[in-house]
Amino acid sequence: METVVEFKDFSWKYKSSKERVLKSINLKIHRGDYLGIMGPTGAGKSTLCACINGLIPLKTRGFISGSVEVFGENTRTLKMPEITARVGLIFQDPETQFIMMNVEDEIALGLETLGLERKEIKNRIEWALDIVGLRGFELRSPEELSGGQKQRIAIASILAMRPEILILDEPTSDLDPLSKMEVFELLDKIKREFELTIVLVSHETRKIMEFCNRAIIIDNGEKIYDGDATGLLNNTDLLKSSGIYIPEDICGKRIAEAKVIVKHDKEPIISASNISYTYPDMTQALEDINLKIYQGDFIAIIGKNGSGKTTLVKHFNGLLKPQQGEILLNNKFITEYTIPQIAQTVGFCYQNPDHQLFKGTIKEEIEFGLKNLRFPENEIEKRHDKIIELLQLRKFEEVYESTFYLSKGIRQRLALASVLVLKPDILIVDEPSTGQDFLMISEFMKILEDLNKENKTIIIITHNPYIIAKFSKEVVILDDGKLIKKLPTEDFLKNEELQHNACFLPP
Amino acid sequence: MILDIILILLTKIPVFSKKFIKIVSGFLLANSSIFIAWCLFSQRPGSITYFETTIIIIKDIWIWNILITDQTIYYASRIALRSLIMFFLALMFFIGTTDRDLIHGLRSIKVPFTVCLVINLIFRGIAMFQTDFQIIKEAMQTRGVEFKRVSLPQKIRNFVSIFIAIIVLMFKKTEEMANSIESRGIPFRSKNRTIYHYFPLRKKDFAILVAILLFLAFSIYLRIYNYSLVNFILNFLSIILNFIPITLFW
Repeated sequence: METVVEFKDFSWKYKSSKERVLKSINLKIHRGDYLGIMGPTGAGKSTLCACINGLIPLKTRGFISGSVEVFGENTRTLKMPEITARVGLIFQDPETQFIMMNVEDEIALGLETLGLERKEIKNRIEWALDIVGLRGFELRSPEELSGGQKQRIAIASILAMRPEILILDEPTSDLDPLSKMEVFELLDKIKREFELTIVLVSHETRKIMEFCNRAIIIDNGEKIYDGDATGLLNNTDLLKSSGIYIPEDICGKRIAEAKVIVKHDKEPIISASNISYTYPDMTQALEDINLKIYQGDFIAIIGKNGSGKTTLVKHFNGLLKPQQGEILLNNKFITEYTIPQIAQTVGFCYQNPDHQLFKGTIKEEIEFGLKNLRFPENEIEKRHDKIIELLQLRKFEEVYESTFYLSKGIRQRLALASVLVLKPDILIVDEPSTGQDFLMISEFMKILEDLNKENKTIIIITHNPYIIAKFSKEVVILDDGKLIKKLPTEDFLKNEELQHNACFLPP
Repeated sequence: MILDIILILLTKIPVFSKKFIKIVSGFLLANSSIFIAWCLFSQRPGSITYFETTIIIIKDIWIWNILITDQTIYYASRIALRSLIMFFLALMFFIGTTDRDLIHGLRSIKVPFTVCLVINLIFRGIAMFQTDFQIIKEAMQTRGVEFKRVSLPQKIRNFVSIFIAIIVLMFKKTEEMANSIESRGIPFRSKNRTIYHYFPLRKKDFAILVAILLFLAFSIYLRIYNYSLVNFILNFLSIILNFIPITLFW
């Protein structure tokens, strides 16, 4: 078989990093391979992808030893456009990949660079949109597309350039399980049709085993596994040591345990009645929602992308005022609360910690909320120490001066700390699993579980089937702004029709 | 001015929508304040004085007289009319042109691709900035920060915090976008780059361009010889009127 990419004893160190990010990698990728790359966050997976497409070393500063050959030529001797005409790279965040103002221009951008005729560009745009199933979206702007649609446009814009190698760097981390499945099936179809070579970075062990014919694991810059994708399961120790999810039948286990929980005898802590909400552009986000949440609940709000989950929880902490209906928080209308009062009752953790951290250091960040509410100095000190212990942030506080250099997982934990320090009874967490590896997700969820044991109410929005099946006590299913059902997780896991409705696939 | 309003109507936007009326009425209000300010502060002596009074006198330094004459009214309305015309022109431009039309247009008249890309990225960046700004503001509210009902210094401090978060985000996003652009193989100097949306200049465009240039030259001419448009038209008419008997005589 023809070798299309070859790493020869390749090492790489970024100018700013202390250690080598990739350490003596030897790797051959053959034509027609479907290669899955796994490994914990920060292991060097994205760096590896950037090496294949020439971003490293052509456009990034750092130190190199060994070489990468693409189609038999050293990437250092080539120019960027020469490589990108044959190697396409798709990134994780669909938002920043969208450069132009609408779909058509976005796809045309790469094609113009190839110097194609206008007619050919038109044909290719139509062809690519047909493949990703978004024909008729040509004139949409990025603001009018959902995350999943944007990701498919990103794939289309690279596919239209007809690359021979397609690299995808965690392309599905923002998507609901069903859209995820769609992307994987799409890739499978493309691969068979055009005999592409695909390199895919993903945390989804099960998907990699199902679709890829070969898998490698990278941990701490070293390749520690290279072989059959289905053979991954024979190396559970290896998977465990690098913090990769080992597929197991969580749903079956959960149903078997069948602990009957959730008794609601007290007053609800949040009571929403007949909530409706319409956005200024006249899309109805919520329609007549009735929901009661009790102290000590652990609720997962699920539903496909754009079903109104975030809009709903924004009502619970007063960010949105219901246009119809009313919300009672602790038996008092939410409109009667002031912003500081709500902040001490309902905590809210955002999906992207970057949106939530706005101070320089960990200490400042944690104390910000308290100082803002004019707590006494010794109380601030006390709470700060307690929260640092609880979330194990002490060692980072000592090492890192600025929060800017923390990894995403730690930044997320810091964001949680900054919210928890106000001691809210209710904690709302918006999709904590985006772009995180399995180990980080389980650590984060463990913290939430402990908080729940202390009788805190947890409301979590998530697509991640593992979190739903393993941690939540109840699920609330939303579809197109309507509340389908609220029911215990065990019952949900038995009911396949509801699972389909909520775009849920067992982990 | 009238031409302007006709052009705006031609763009087929919902003129009676709430938003449009809000914008126009807001501007008219601002514009009338310009008119009033000119009336109050410009002390132009004129042939007819309508109103005269002294408000403040600070010894030999500054005297505020209100003097409203026919000349004041004339100048104030001139200034107000001027900004009104500029407003409607700008409004017409923004209503009739989307940001991508602008970029397609620029590329079609052979502005370098790099420049177009940069302009495009600015628009894209503004859109991202707005969403991020909103989210961060909400995130601060969930931590008990109030934006209404606080003192000005506190407000400023809050906004500084938002900008810290935005700068961090922008650093990350620009890097990702740069990578994404590079990965599409976009070299900044490419000879055989084609243009998908190509709108070449047609006869109509040239005609309008020439008309605009002529009008510009004409107004410069008026300015230099210190004519006002009204005087010019009157002169022009009188010349023609003088000619009519001659032609009739012939």
